[in-house]
Amino acid sequence: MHELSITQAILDTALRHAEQAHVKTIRALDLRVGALSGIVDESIRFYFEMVSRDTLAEGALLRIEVVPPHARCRACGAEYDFPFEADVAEAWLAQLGSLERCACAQRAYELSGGTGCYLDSIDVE
Amino acid sequence: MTRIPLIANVLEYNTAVAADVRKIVGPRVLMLNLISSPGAGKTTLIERTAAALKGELRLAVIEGDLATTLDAGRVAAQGVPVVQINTNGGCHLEARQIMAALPQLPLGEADVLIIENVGNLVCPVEFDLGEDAQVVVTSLTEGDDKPLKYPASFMAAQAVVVNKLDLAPYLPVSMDRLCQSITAINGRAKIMPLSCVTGEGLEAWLDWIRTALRAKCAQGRHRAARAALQVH
Repeated sequence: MHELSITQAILDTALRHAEQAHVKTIRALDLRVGALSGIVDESIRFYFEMVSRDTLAEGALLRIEVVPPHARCRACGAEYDFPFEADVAEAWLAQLGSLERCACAQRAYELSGGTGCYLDSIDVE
Repeated sequence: MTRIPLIANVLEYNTAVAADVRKIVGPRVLMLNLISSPGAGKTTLIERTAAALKGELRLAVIEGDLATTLDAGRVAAQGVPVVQINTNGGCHLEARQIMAALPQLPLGEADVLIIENVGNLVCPVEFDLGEDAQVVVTSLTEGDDKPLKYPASFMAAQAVVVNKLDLAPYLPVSMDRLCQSITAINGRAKIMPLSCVTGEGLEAWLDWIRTALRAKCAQGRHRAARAALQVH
């Protein structure tokens, strides 16, 4: 439910930039949401319809890309793609353990990235 | 139709206010943000910490809850200055709420400012409050799989307190598995198993606070010295 304040922040950011550019309408918003951010894209869609009413962004399309986390080598800091499956928490340790050995020859990983929420661009008219 | 590229951090307003909080709290006061699910023992940990550090370090506390001043009452009974924030349904604290609470606390007479966030292992993590460290409090009764199921909170934590150690003999929970899960998510977090009931393990937590405060003050002195050198 923290999506309400986050959605308001998304809308405020979009409106501020739209007004600076003196446009009439915001047609679409491109968002990147971290898979570990605890931000649920469906909630954002739900709240956006509500908070954007009677604004330049009313009816705008939301394109939301969910950014997966990475595995980071604890020894050298190198990052690797991590096959994140949100519903299979039990498999995480096994998945981390089965990653290819890092170039630095260590075999200790932790999660990195996959947090935050970014408004990448807006389509305006 | 035109595309305007932004790459804007949606939480930049909160982050900016958090930076102001950091400035006001200053380089001499350690600020901790306690995050846990409801019932893990955050308030009890604060009570025990206040009692144990009495006469050594001065605490100030901000309590976050959906409703009531029950927690503030418990902390005030320890002789600690406390402000209660009621979020009226809000699932997390935001930096602006901390900013509003700061003037009500005697920061000049405090060494450690502890924020007890709303009991919630999901939402608070995205909101920087201006703290020096996020501390996750988990407890044995929650099971050993919570770090894997709620990774974001554990990922962001500098320290993880594992409370209710006294209940270990009665619970089918593996401390090894719990620690392994935390380490898999975050290898840098200091893990401190303790019991707020018996006091076992509490000393490690108090030492962690002392060390973190010393490190912050040393860093502050270093910065001040550098700034002074740059002026001349």
